[in-house]
Amino acid sequence: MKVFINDKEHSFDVNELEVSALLKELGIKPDGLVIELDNNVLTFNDFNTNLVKDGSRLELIRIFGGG
Amino acid sequence: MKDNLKIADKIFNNRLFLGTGKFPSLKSLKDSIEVSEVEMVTVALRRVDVEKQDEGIISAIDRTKQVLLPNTSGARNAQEAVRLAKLARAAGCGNWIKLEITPEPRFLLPDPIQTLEATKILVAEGFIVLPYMNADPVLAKLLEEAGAAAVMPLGSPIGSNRGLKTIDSVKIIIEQSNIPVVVDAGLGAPSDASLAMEIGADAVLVNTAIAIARDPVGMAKAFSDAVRAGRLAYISGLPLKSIQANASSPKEGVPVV
Repeated sequence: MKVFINDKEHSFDVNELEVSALLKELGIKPDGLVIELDNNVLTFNDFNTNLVKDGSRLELIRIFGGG
Repeated sequence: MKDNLKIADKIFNNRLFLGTGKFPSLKSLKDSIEVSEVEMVTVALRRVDVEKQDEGIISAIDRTKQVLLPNTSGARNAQEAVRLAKLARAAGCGNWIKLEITPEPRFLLPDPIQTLEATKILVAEGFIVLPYMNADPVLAKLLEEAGAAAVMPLGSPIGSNRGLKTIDSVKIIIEQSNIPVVVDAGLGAPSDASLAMEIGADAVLVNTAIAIARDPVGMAKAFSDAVRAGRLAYISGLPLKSIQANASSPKEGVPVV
């Protein structure tokens, strides 16, 4: 499947993937992470129960330094 | 009686708030927070770089000691700011938000109309809103009436280190405001922070001047001390300025031949 993560295209060898599994594939820690999956805001608790499919759009957002 | 600062439902002993951007390392940020003993820090929300796998700065913050104040930096209008605020809340940052709407990148001045609009929306959605604003006393009252928990007038443009250029307007805001006044942006030296406190500000927020100092940890301590000194001076009653001299030593009884 092809998904868009932060507007960049990524390919995976499966038809669907749990969000938490996708993060593990990419080596991204879930701490302080918020995800928008197809315009739905997901919190940490939702990562295991939401599936990423072909054409899904994800925004991965984290807390960074700022004034 | 302790001279604490109350904003919404939280009490602060330290009237210096720290921005966490532009520090040379996570360690220098963590040490600066520790040495200055700040109790509120601002953070930003940004896209994760999938290739870099940057973990951000959350590990430098102790949520039992510091209140997290996410900002809506990057927002150019109320709609973008509200979206960022909701993302911050979803990221587990709590419901406090520094509302920052800056459509123009050269001076990063806050849009007053969008800020007022976003304040109303976010207050209705249960956020504790601290709006960043230009030092406009009329706007400050409007934001207060809209339910802001504090107002954050700028001293000079973000990261410019030009100091408290807006001092006269900030004095008016301080006189007229019924909510805390936190001077934010442009404070470039501890003396700027002390001055803001001496004129009666309730707190100051500093980022760049500390983060880009040669020794951020030393500068963080300097600012923390300056804020304490300025506040103590304010509550101790600063004397008025005089055109003429007023002798310090007694006038009579000078032993002259």
